[in-house]
Amino acid sequence: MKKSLSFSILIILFLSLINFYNCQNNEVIGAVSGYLDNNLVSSIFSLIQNKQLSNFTFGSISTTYKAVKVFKLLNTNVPNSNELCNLLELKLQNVERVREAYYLIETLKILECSNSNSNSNSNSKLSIPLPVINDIRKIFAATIQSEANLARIYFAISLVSSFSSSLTHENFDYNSIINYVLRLKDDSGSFKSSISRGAPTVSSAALAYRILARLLSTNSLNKHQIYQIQQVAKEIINIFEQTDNYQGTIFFEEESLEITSEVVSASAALIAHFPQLPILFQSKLVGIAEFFIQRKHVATIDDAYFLLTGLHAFDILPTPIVLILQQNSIEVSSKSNDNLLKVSVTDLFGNNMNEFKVYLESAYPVTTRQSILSHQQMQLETGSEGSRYSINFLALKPEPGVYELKFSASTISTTRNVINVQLAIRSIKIVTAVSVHDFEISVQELSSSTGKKTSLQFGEVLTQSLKANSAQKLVITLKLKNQVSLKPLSVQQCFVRLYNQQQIKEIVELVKFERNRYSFEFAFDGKKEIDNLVNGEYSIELIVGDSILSNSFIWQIGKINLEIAENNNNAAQLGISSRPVFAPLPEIRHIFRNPDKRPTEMISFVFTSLVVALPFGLLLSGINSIGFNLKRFPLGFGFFSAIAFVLLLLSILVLFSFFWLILTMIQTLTILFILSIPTFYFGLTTFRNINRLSKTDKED
Amino acid sequence: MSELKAVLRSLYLEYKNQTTSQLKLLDFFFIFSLIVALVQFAYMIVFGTFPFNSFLSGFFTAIGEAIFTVSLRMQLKRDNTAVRPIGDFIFCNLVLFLAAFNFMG
Repeated sequence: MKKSLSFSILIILFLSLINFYNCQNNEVIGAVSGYLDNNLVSSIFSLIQNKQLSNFTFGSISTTYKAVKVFKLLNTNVPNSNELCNLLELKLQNVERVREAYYLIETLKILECSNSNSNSNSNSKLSIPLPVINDIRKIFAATIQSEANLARIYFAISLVSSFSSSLTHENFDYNSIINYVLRLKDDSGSFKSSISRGAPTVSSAALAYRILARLLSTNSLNKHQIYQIQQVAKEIINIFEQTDNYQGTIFFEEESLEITSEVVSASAALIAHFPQLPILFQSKLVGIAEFFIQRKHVATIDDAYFLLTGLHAFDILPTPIVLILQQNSIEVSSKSNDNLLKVSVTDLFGNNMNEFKVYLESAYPVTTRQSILSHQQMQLETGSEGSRYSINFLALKPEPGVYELKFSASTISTTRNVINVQLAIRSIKIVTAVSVHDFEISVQELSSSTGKKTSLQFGEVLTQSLKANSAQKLVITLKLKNQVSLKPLSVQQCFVRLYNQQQIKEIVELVKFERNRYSFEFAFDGKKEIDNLVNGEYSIELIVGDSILSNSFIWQIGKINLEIAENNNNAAQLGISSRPVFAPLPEIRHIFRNPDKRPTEMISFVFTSLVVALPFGLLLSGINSIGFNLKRFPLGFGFFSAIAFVLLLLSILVLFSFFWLILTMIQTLTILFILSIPTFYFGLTTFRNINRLSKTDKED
Repeated sequence: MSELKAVLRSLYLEYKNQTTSQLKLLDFFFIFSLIVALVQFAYMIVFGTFPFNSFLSGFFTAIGEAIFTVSLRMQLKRDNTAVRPIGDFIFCNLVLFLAAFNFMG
């Protein structure tokens, strides 16, 4: 009984762990935030067109191939295609290697050069030169000897599959290719580029997938070979586990467009042969599509090629959905007559997709995060600009602010393979208009709150100038309300600005917000801010602004005459220049520290000589006066050890000089360690000799 | 004044006769180090501290050299056959020079 109970508990725990692991692995599938629009397509076309050279190519043969492929993917004609055809056919006659042959033949296939017979395809006039066939034979032989690399295998297989009918007599062994490619695979799903070289990489995996896809397209594999390749296709998910992500985008190899595109398009090429295989990495595909869309502004032929081939991989792979808020829905005024929030659902090329159920799952202000609706279905509308899904968002009377909206979309079509959206988050801003209420302005004594208050409606101007001296203060009170809901509003910017008529000086002070009311007090009693004020007439302005207001304003309230007796300086004495308030500020001229004064080269040389020569000369003369005695210098082995000791000490000083000039501390310490061993030995020997000599002298 | 002269003369004769040549050599080396430090200091006073790192390295190397020389002299005066103090003096100077070269910039 106890055993069966503990066994049951273990089973439950195990299942919970599996469930927990599955939950952790369930990534939310979102939507892509943009698509390749017609303007961008035109700009890519112009970019590639402008890069065509005078010889009608676009640079190297690989770049020419990529440019021609881009034109094909954009469904446009290649400029000067006939001239290009002639040039490439001429080049094809002289190639000897598979790489060049591959690019030339693939380019000619895309161009559909018109030299072929009308009843046959363009390949009938094309043939592989004999040196290239020899190169292909070498590559097949190299796979048996485990020496080939994936890139060359790919070029060879591509040529063989393109010209299979004319190469049947060669009896190429596809089995050796498959076995060789499978040997290059490691447990993570990556492939090495060859047996002997390098670590497994995802770009080699892309090549491997292309090779296997090309082999399948020859339609000459047996069931076992197809099964082996199918096993590789099932493990494509392992490659997609090696992606990185950043802010909603997913990519390979440090945001490499080339590698990401190659892996995705190669995976698509292989998966196309196994349509029944489930795609378990759909959230990754959405992230990768987002990565491509964020790289859509390309500047080179290569980037255009990789972008377009990557995007067109989704013709085979499940298509991510693009969900975009319409321009007039991103910032919505609560006073607007159009209450509808509209989104468009398209594919990656901007084509509308109507066969969806789109829901607004929730909407909440980012400040409070309290949802104001849940799971509302959006209605499909068809108009001149295409179809949109809409919902009457303003009917909920949302408060002004930034809102996060969560959408979901699921297809009702059975024909198209799309990735349903579980959660796509978009932001909108609800703006409103503000109105001013209960505005009062007065000049009061510093110590009291009495004084004649003047009430103004918004837009009115004081009929008479106010007057104030250094014993008084300016007081303003007002309320700001939402024009639509009439609720009190607190705004980001509410200032009062005083500026002199000649615009010599301005003061901008904050209006404080307390208990749904704004109040402003400014005393003219000698505070630091008014030290530079001059007596005279000042204009009073109220500045109100906020990102959620559609009518931020500057209200010219009126004028005030200041008589601050102590400060009767005029502008000329103060050296203040006039400047219009909204004009550019004066240019900042950086002042760099003046370099220290240095003496001339001659003086430095003189002092160096003084430091070196003068004391050294005195030392020599002093030694000379004592008398230089070499009688006690050791002889025999002692002589050599003493000389070696001195030389090694000098070499250490030379090492220090090199340390100052070239070496690092680590290098210096390493060499010092090596030098210190003989130095220590010879020093010890020398000192022992000196000690022995001293003892001998004493005994004498 | 004449008394002062007599005192100095007797000091000089005492030094000349009583002090070994080994110690005299160290004294000259000590004065040499001080003059090197003095010349660098005078340069700094006249022409400013730029480059300051180099001035500090040179000045304090010379002063450090002088201090090690004094220390060696004190030890050799006690026992002029000892070689251990000479080995210590050499080692300390090498460390001092390494630090000075590192700091010099």
